[in-house]
Amino acid sequence: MNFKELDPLLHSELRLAIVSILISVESADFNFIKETTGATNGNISVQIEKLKTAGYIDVEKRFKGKMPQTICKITVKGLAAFEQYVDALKSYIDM
Amino acid sequence: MEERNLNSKESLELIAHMIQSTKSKLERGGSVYFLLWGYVSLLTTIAVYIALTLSHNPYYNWIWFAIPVIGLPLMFVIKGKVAKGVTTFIERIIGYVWFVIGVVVMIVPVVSIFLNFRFPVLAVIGILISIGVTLTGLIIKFRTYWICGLICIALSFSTLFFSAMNQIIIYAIIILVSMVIPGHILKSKENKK
Repeated sequence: MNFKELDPLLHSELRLAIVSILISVESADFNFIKETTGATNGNISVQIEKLKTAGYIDVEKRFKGKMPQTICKITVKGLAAFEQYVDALKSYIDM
Repeated sequence: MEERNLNSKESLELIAHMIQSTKSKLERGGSVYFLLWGYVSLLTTIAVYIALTLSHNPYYNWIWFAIPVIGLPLMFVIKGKVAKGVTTFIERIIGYVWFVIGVVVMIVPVVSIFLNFRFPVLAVIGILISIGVTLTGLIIKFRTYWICGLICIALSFSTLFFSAMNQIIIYAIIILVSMVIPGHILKSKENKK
């Protein structure tokens, strides 16, 4: 049986959760991700930064009224990485 | 939720859970715009009908402009309150559909003021709104919307065969069937979720 390697960047609970949210929408703000994952601000910030550095997501900071807003979008590279990750997972499940 | 590695089964469960959770959050709040515009339009229509019936003065047709005057500011207030912090392709498409319909619906009565023949304003606006409702129903796959939309397209055409006062009554029914009733059905569906 040939096991495909799992992308270590996605094979982490919170980062996988963030990417799973972003594949379902065009963009999501920090608070939506926080509400959906139930994770802490600090933890989400760290994982968003890692995903951004890897080029898996785009992060845009802007203001909504006087409130700062962080908007995240999945990139083409991130989408491809997610698809490869799910393919790799299938090879483990089908064993 | 934290930074920990998962086994393959947990990973798939997490992906499915996050997609489902995102989807159910997105389904909330869609009914509010239908109810807002539905009730503002319905109450204005009733006000116009009562004013015209009691006074027989055509100047009371200016009351129609209460719809955008009341509806637009309320919509922006509500938009800020129901904002989910997320955008989807479907929401953007529905937004474009209603933006175009909304602009045309506001232009039609203004243009009709300058025409020297009787233009069927309510029939045209009814058709435009019903097309919007039908398209919204087809895009979000909500059968109640597109069925009500199609019924109201037929009702809008039927207004052409009635007197001006009866057209107002049919228009009120169109608003009730196309926006108020489906809006409440969607809202109860959202609340159940």
